[in-house]
Amino acid sequence: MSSGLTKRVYQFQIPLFLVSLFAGIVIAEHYLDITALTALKDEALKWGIIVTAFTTLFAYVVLVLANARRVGRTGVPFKDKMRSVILLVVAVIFCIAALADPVRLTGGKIFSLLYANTIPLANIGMIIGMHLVFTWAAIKKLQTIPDVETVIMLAFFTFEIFAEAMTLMPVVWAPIGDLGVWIKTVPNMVGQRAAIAAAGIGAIILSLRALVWKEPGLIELEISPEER
Amino acid sequence: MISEGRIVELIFFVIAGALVWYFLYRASEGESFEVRMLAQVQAIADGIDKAVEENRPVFAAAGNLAYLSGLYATMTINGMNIVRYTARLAIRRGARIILPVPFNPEAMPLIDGIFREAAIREGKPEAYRREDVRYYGGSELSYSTGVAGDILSHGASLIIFIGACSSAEMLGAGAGLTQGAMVIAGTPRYVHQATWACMADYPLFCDDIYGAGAVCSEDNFVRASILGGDIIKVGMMLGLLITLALALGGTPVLDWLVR
Repeated sequence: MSSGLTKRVYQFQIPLFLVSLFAGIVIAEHYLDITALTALKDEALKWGIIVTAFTTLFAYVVLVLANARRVGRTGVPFKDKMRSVILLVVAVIFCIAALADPVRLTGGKIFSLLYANTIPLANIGMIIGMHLVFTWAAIKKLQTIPDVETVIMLAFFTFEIFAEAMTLMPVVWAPIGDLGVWIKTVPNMVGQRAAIAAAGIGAIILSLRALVWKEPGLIELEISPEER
Repeated sequence: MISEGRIVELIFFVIAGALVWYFLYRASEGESFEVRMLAQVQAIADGIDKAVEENRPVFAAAGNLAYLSGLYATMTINGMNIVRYTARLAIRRGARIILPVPFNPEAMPLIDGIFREAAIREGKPEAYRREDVRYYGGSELSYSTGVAGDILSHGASLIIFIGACSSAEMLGAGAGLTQGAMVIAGTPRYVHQATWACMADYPLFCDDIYGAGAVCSEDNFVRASILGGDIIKVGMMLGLLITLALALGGTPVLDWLVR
């Protein structure tokens, strides 16, 4: 005999109900000045953070397990295997460093020293590499863009660089600085506001779908349309 | 009872809600809604065919900021719909797909689940390869250099970065362009529109992402609500013109709006 709690119920309807309930609480609290509702929203958000913490913990467990399994499997390319080994070794080293000070953990002296002497250095290397690769790729890509919008965008971008980012140009011709500020604060701001409004409506629609139980979102990914 | 300064906002929300609800109701009554196929979504299929021909992988990510909470959650949801669509198509046609995991890995089990589910749904469970769900560390830079490194070492034929993307993802896109990959990318984050105008062969701007997500979701309710959203946008444009006219006419319309 099959259980009464089907996949459809526990993997689709219950999560949708919860999403709808929390969306309703948050939206109502935004518009209504009711103290009890604000307290309920704060409590709901607190639980949201707690649940998210578990999700993140689960993510890290999956990550470590996936890499450990990759090391153990045959047929995995050597480079991938080494990447997983490095990840696991580094994770273990940082775990030991954190546990060396069981009270302060990642705030401890050993962890902080280890972190400060490795990660920022790696970041510098990555920034240099990133800009070397990106700049070259961007220049090549821009050579191939023929449309009017791109030409206008590049013209304004170049003008802004001269007008605002370089101190030399305002010295040569003072009004250019003001012109640069005007472009940034008037036409650019108009475009930004329009973009925010358009993207904002998309977000509103999504929250409204959640409110009326019609936002499958990420939940449906585990269940086929036929099973809904 | 209504919070100060939110009356006009509430009226807007109620009208928007009524419109969306109306279209959702029609969808629940069995009416089918179609959304225009976007060129960017169509290009996904072309890119996958290209990947099969070139025998090089497809990279698909919902953005390096694809969190499940906060401001980026809505972008993540739409991005994941597109990742899922791409994964299913890639598996169906026999292209290898690599799924970069955001540097906050809370979405990693979900991405892994999408890959697994897509492989099973397409009747090719062997297409699921755990090692192709890739995590590059907990910082934006490690993510962007890691993705670029993977693209340069494995090659890439199609790159999809749609969702909560930051400008650092242009590194991966740039690496892909040097490899001759097709780049389809975009984000609703308005400050990053220029990034994808420059770096993507098929850019998506702002709410294009929500439209593309609706097409890829293959869900009639999602498509129906997008139609409601379009009507709200037309209403907003009319509202802006009326507000402008009233403001120019000397009425205190801006004071009314903040009531």
